[in-house]
Amino acid sequence: MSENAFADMMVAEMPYLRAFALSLSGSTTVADDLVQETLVKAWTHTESFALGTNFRAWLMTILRNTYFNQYRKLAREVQDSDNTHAEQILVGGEQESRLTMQDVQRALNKLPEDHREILLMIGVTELSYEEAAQVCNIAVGTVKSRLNRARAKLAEHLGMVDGATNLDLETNGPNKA
Amino acid sequence: MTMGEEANKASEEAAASPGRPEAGIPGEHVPALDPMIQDQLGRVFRSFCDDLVHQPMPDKLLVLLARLEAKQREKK
Repeated sequence: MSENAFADMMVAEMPYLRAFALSLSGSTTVADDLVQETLVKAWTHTESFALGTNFRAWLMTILRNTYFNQYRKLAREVQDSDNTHAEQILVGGEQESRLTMQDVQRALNKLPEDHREILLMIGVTELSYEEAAQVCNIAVGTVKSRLNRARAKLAEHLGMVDGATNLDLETNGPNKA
Repeated sequence: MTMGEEANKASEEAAASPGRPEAGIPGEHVPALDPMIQDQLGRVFRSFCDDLVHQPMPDKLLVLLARLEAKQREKK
Protein backbone atom coordinates (compact mmCIF):
# COMPACT_ATOMS: atom_id res chain seq x y z
CA MET A 1 0.00 0.00 0.00
CA SER A 2 1.39 3.44 -0.88
CA GLU A 3 1.87 6.06 1.83
CA ASN A 4 -0.60 8.30 0.06
CA ALA A 5 -3.30 5.68 0.19
CA PHE A 6 -2.53 5.11 3.84
CA ALA A 7 -2.71 8.83 4.60
CA ASP A 8 -6.02 9.16 2.78
CA MET A 9 -7.49 6.27 4.70
CA MET A 10 -6.26 7.77 7.92
CA VAL A 11 -7.83 11.15 7.18
CA ALA A 12 -11.14 9.44 6.46
CA GLU A 13 -11.06 7.55 9.75
CA MET A 14 -9.99 10.40 12.02
CA PRO A 15 -13.47 11.80 12.72
CA TYR A 16 -14.61 8.37 13.91
CA LEU A 17 -11.55 7.80 16.07
CA ARG A 18 -11.88 11.19 17.66
CA ALA A 19 -15.63 10.83 18.23
CA PHE A 20 -15.06 7.52 19.94
CA ALA A 21 -12.19 8.92 22.01
CA LEU A 22 -14.26 11.97 23.03
CA SER A 23 -17.15 9.97 24.26
CA LEU A 24 -15.16 7.15 25.86
CA SER A 25 -12.96 9.51 27.86
CA GLY A 26 -15.47 12.32 28.34
CA SER A 27 -12.63 14.81 27.85
CA THR A 28 -11.41 16.75 24.80
CA THR A 29 -7.87 16.97 26.16
CA VAL A 30 -7.60 13.24 26.73
CA ALA A 31 -9.32 12.47 23.42
CA ASP A 32 -6.92 14.61 21.39
CA ASP A 33 -3.84 13.14 23.09
CA LEU A 34 -5.26 9.69 22.57
CA VAL A 35 -5.95 10.21 18.87
CA GLN A 36 -2.53 11.79 18.43
CA GLU A 37 -0.82 8.80 19.97
CA THR A 38 -2.96 6.42 17.91
CA LEU A 39 -1.95 8.19 14.68
CA VAL A 40 1.74 7.97 15.52
CA LYS A 41 1.51 4.30 16.49
CA ALA A 42 -0.52 3.42 13.40
CA TRP A 43 1.96 5.24 11.21
CA THR A 44 4.94 3.47 12.69
CA HIS A 45 3.26 0.06 12.46
CA THR A 46 1.74 0.22 9.00
CA GLU A 47 3.28 -3.15 8.19
CA SER A 48 1.14 -4.81 10.89
CA PHE A 49 -2.06 -3.82 9.09
CA ALA A 50 -3.28 -6.78 7.03
CA LEU A 51 -4.72 -5.66 3.71
CA GLY A 52 -8.27 -6.79 3.20
CA THR A 53 -9.11 -6.45 6.88
CA ASN A 54 -11.06 -3.56 8.32
CA PHE A 55 -8.84 -0.51 8.67
CA ARG A 56 -11.11 1.18 11.19
CA ALA A 57 -11.16 -1.90 13.42
CA TRP A 58 -7.36 -2.03 13.26
CA LEU A 59 -7.08 1.63 14.31
CA MET A 60 -9.67 1.12 17.02
CA THR A 61 -7.64 -1.74 18.47
CA ILE A 62 -4.62 0.57 18.74
CA LEU A 63 -6.68 3.38 20.22
CA ARG A 64 -8.46 1.18 22.73
CA ASN A 65 -5.24 -0.47 23.95
CA THR A 66 -3.59 2.93 24.28
CA TYR A 67 -6.56 4.22 26.27
CA PHE A 68 -6.68 1.34 28.71
CA ASN A 69 -2.91 1.25 29.18
CA GLN A 70 -2.21 4.96 29.47
CA TYR A 71 -5.21 7.25 29.61
CA ARG A 72 -8.03 5.65 31.53
CA LYS A 73 -6.89 6.94 34.91
CA LEU A 74 -6.35 10.46 33.61
CA ALA A 75 -9.75 10.43 31.92
CA ARG A 76 -11.45 9.64 35.23
CA GLU A 77 -9.73 12.59 36.85
CA VAL A 78 -10.60 15.18 34.23
CA GLN A 79 -14.00 13.93 33.11
CA ASP A 80 -16.03 16.41 35.09
CA SER A 81 -13.91 19.49 34.65
CA ASP A 82 -13.24 19.13 30.94
CA ASN A 83 -16.52 18.49 29.25
CA THR A 84 -16.66 17.46 25.61
CA HIS A 85 -19.93 19.30 25.08
CA ALA A 86 -19.68 22.76 26.51
CA GLU A 87 -22.61 24.06 24.54
CA GLN A 88 -26.14 23.17 25.48
CA ILE A 89 -27.10 21.66 22.14
CA LEU A 90 -30.31 19.69 22.15
CA VAL A 91 -30.04 16.20 20.71
CA GLY A 92 -32.29 15.49 17.76
CA GLY A 93 -33.59 19.04 17.63
CA GLU A 94 -36.34 20.67 19.67
CA GLN A 95 -39.12 18.27 18.86
CA GLU A 96 -37.35 15.15 20.02
CA SER A 97 -36.60 15.83 23.63
CA ARG A 98 -35.22 18.39 26.01
CA LEU A 99 -32.03 16.39 26.33
CA THR A 100 -28.71 18.06 25.55
CA MET A 101 -25.54 16.46 24.23
CA GLN A 102 -24.12 17.00 27.68
CA ASP A 103 -26.98 15.07 29.27
CA VAL A 104 -26.23 12.10 27.02
CA GLN A 105 -22.50 12.27 27.76
CA ARG A 106 -23.18 12.41 31.50
CA ALA A 107 -25.45 9.39 31.23
CA LEU A 108 -22.74 7.56 29.25
CA ASN A 109 -20.15 8.39 31.90
CA LYS A 110 -22.26 6.51 34.43
CA LEU A 111 -22.09 3.26 32.47
CA PRO A 112 -19.39 0.71 33.28
CA GLU A 113 -16.49 1.31 30.91
CA ASP A 114 -16.70 -2.11 29.26
CA HIS A 115 -20.36 -1.48 28.43
CA ARG A 116 -19.80 2.09 27.31
CA GLU A 117 -17.04 1.14 24.89
CA ILE A 118 -19.25 -1.46 23.19
CA LEU A 119 -22.14 0.96 22.83
CA LEU A 120 -19.79 3.53 21.27
CA MET A 121 -18.02 1.06 18.99
CA ILE A 122 -21.36 0.05 17.52
CA GLY A 123 -23.01 3.49 17.59
CA VAL A 124 -20.17 5.93 16.91
CA THR A 125 -17.61 3.96 14.95
CA GLU A 126 -20.19 1.66 13.34
CA LEU A 127 -18.19 -1.51 13.81
CA SER A 128 -20.05 -4.79 13.34
CA TYR A 129 -20.62 -7.03 16.37
CA GLU A 130 -17.90 -9.30 15.05
CA GLU A 131 -15.41 -6.45 14.66
CA ALA A 132 -16.20 -5.09 18.12
CA ALA A 133 -15.69 -8.59 19.53
CA GLN A 134 -12.29 -8.78 17.85
CA VAL A 135 -11.20 -5.34 19.00
CA CYS A 136 -12.12 -6.14 22.61
CA ASN A 137 -11.02 -9.78 22.38
CA ILE A 138 -14.36 -11.08 23.68
CA ALA A 139 -17.06 -13.37 22.27
CA VAL A 140 -19.74 -11.96 19.96
CA GLY A 141 -22.41 -13.07 22.45
CA THR A 142 -20.70 -10.93 25.09
CA VAL A 143 -20.79 -7.93 22.77
CA LYS A 144 -24.51 -8.40 22.27
CA SER A 145 -25.34 -8.79 25.93
CA ARG A 146 -23.18 -5.81 26.96
CA LEU A 147 -24.86 -3.75 24.29
CA ASN A 148 -28.30 -4.66 25.58
CA ARG A 149 -27.41 -3.81 29.14
CA ALA A 150 -25.73 -0.58 28.10
CA ARG A 151 -28.84 0.50 26.19
CA ALA A 152 -31.15 -0.37 29.06
CA LYS A 153 -28.98 1.55 31.54
CA LEU A 154 -28.59 4.51 29.23
CA ALA A 155 -32.37 4.77 28.83
CA GLU A 156 -32.65 4.67 32.59
CA HIS A 157 -29.99 7.32 33.18
CA LEU A 158 -31.71 9.54 30.62
CA GLY A 159 -34.96 9.22 32.52
CA MET A 160 -36.72 7.39 29.71
CA VAL A 161 -37.79 4.47 31.87
CA ASP A 162 -38.63 4.31 35.51
CA GLY A 163 -36.03 2.21 37.27
CA ALA A 164 -38.44 -0.46 38.45
CA THR A 165 -40.02 -1.78 35.29
CA ASN A 166 -37.56 -2.71 32.60
CA LEU A 167 -34.25 -3.19 34.20
CA ASP A 168 -32.32 -6.07 35.49
CA LEU A 169 -30.55 -5.79 38.84
CA GLU A 170 -32.78 -3.01 40.08
CA THR A 171 -36.13 -4.56 40.66
CA ASN A 172 -36.88 -2.13 43.46
CA GLY A 173 -35.35 1.00 42.04
CA PRO A 174 -36.88 4.38 42.75
CA ASN A 175 -39.60 5.53 40.42
CA LYS A 176 -38.17 8.43 38.49
CA ALA A 177 -41.09 9.04 36.19
CA MET B 1 -8.34 -18.18 20.56
CA THR B 2 -8.77 -21.86 21.43
CA MET B 3 -12.08 -23.38 22.35
CA GLY B 4 -10.92 -23.75 25.93
CA GLU B 5 -10.09 -20.07 26.23
CA GLU B 6 -13.42 -19.21 24.70
CA ALA B 7 -15.20 -21.32 27.29
CA ASN B 8 -13.18 -19.78 30.12
CA LYS B 9 -14.11 -16.31 28.97
CA ALA B 10 -17.75 -17.27 28.85
CA SER B 11 -17.68 -18.67 32.36
CA GLU B 12 -15.85 -15.61 33.65
CA GLU B 13 -18.59 -13.43 32.24
CA ALA B 14 -21.24 -15.68 33.71
CA ALA B 15 -19.57 -15.46 37.10
CA ALA B 16 -19.52 -11.69 36.87
CA SER B 17 -23.27 -11.62 36.39
CA PRO B 18 -24.85 -14.46 38.33
CA GLY B 19 -27.83 -16.10 36.71
CA ARG B 20 -27.16 -14.50 33.36
CA PRO B 21 -24.98 -16.56 31.09
CA GLU B 22 -23.57 -14.36 28.38
CA ALA B 23 -23.84 -16.54 25.32
CA GLY B 24 -27.14 -16.53 23.52
CA ILE B 25 -29.66 -14.35 21.86
CA PRO B 26 -29.53 -10.62 22.54
CA GLY B 27 -32.32 -9.60 24.83
CA GLU B 28 -32.69 -13.09 26.18
CA HIS B 29 -31.34 -12.29 29.61
CA VAL B 30 -31.85 -8.56 29.82
CA PRO B 31 -35.50 -7.67 29.50
CA ALA B 32 -35.99 -5.87 26.20
CA LEU B 33 -36.75 -2.19 26.31
CA ASP B 34 -40.25 -1.14 25.45
CA PRO B 35 -40.28 -0.51 21.66
CA MET B 36 -41.30 3.11 22.11
CA ILE B 37 -38.46 3.75 24.54
CA GLN B 38 -36.12 1.87 22.24
CA ASP B 39 -37.13 4.17 19.38
CA GLN B 40 -36.68 7.27 21.47
CA LEU B 41 -33.31 6.13 22.78
CA GLY B 42 -32.26 5.15 19.27
CA ARG B 43 -33.04 8.60 17.87
CA VAL B 44 -31.38 10.46 20.73
CA PHE B 45 -28.26 8.28 20.64
CA ARG B 46 -28.03 8.38 16.83
CA SER B 47 -28.15 12.15 16.87
CA PHE B 48 -25.55 12.26 19.67
CA CYS B 49 -23.21 10.02 17.63
CA ASP B 50 -23.69 12.07 14.43
CA ASP B 51 -22.87 15.26 16.26
CA LEU B 52 -19.70 13.74 17.69
CA VAL B 53 -18.48 12.46 14.34
CA HIS B 54 -19.06 15.88 12.78
CA GLN B 55 -17.12 17.86 15.37
CA PRO B 56 -14.44 20.02 13.72
CA MET B 57 -11.03 18.35 13.70
CA PRO B 58 -8.51 20.23 15.86
CA ASP B 59 -5.60 21.77 13.91
CA LYS B 60 -3.18 19.99 16.21
CA LEU B 61 -4.23 16.62 14.75
CA LEU B 62 -4.24 17.78 11.14
CA VAL B 63 -0.76 19.24 11.58
CA LEU B 64 0.46 15.99 13.08
CA LEU B 65 -0.90 14.00 10.17
CA ALA B 66 0.81 16.31 7.68
CA ARG B 67 4.08 15.93 9.60
CA LEU B 68 3.84 12.14 9.56
CA GLU B 69 3.21 12.20 5.82
CA ALA B 70 6.16 14.53 5.18
CA LYS B 71 8.46 12.35 7.26
CA GLN B 72 7.42 9.32 5.28
CA ARG B 73 8.19 11.09 1.99
CA GLU B 74 11.64 12.16 3.20
CA LYS B 75 12.54 8.56 3.93
CA LYS B 76 12.03 7.57 0.31
